[in-house]
Amino acid sequence: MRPMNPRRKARCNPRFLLNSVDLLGREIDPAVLSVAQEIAPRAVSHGEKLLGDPALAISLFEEAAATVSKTIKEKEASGKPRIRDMRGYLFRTYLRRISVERKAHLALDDATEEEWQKQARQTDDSDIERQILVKELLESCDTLTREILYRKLEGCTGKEIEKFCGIPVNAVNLRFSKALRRLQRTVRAGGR
Amino acid sequence: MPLASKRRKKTGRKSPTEKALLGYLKQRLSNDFPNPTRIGCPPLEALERNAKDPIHADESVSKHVGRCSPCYRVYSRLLREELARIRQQASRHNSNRDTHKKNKKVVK
Repeated sequence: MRPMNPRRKARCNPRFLLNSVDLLGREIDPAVLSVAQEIAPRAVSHGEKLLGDPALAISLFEEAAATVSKTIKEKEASGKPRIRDMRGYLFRTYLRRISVERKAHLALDDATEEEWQKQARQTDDSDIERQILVKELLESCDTLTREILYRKLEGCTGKEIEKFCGIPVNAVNLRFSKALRRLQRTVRAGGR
Repeated sequence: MPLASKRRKKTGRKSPTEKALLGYLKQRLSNDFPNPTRIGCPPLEALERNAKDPIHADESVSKHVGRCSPCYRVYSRLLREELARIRQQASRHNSNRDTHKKNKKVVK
């Protein structure tokens, strides 16, 4: 058997073909998209190492590209100077987005079961407030996210929800983790 | 240190926090919104439609489920039935595939 070569060159992978619209439905400017395509193989593999999830890494990269597109438009509208180094700017935006995502995940992992039960007990004191908070949380979600949440409550996995809803697993997970974060904030706010 | 060991392990188990949060939300939805006279509740057919086709779910019905505990309990049951059906289909599909493979091996 031939030994594996650790210094094998990375080839351009077709899985780095990006969408022109991110998961939140924001368009990516063609100029930004072409730069994003160029740096995608290295940037996304770096993101994958940090996040441990290739699908999430690509989704966040598309989000970063959409954010940069929006910033460019805003800069043009307000007459501010252009971005000189688009590659660097996009990569930094992507790293910031990754760190936000990681912090959110770590915060979720750090809290123990007891802490959450304590929070829940604290909120038991104010029934009406709690009702309003849960109602607000569900009403702030769009219909599809709400339906995903209802299915997760019944113990559905991402793949099963994909079969139910016909949307990719990474989109399901992204919507669900956002809703979960909002719920976490709601519970914290209610516990105060 | 190899990169693979740095990555987070992916297990099928939910983290305790996620589980606790979901448990909290489920408990709140099932008990905190009593509606004994069933004011404004949609018909069962509407709930069934949402359970079967979440992509084209009726927004008003979906919102109502989130603020009416009796409807949430019905909807929860419908979802569990739908989930059981999907799991049954998947297991049947898998067993069919296995028998196909075995048959192929026998032919060889």
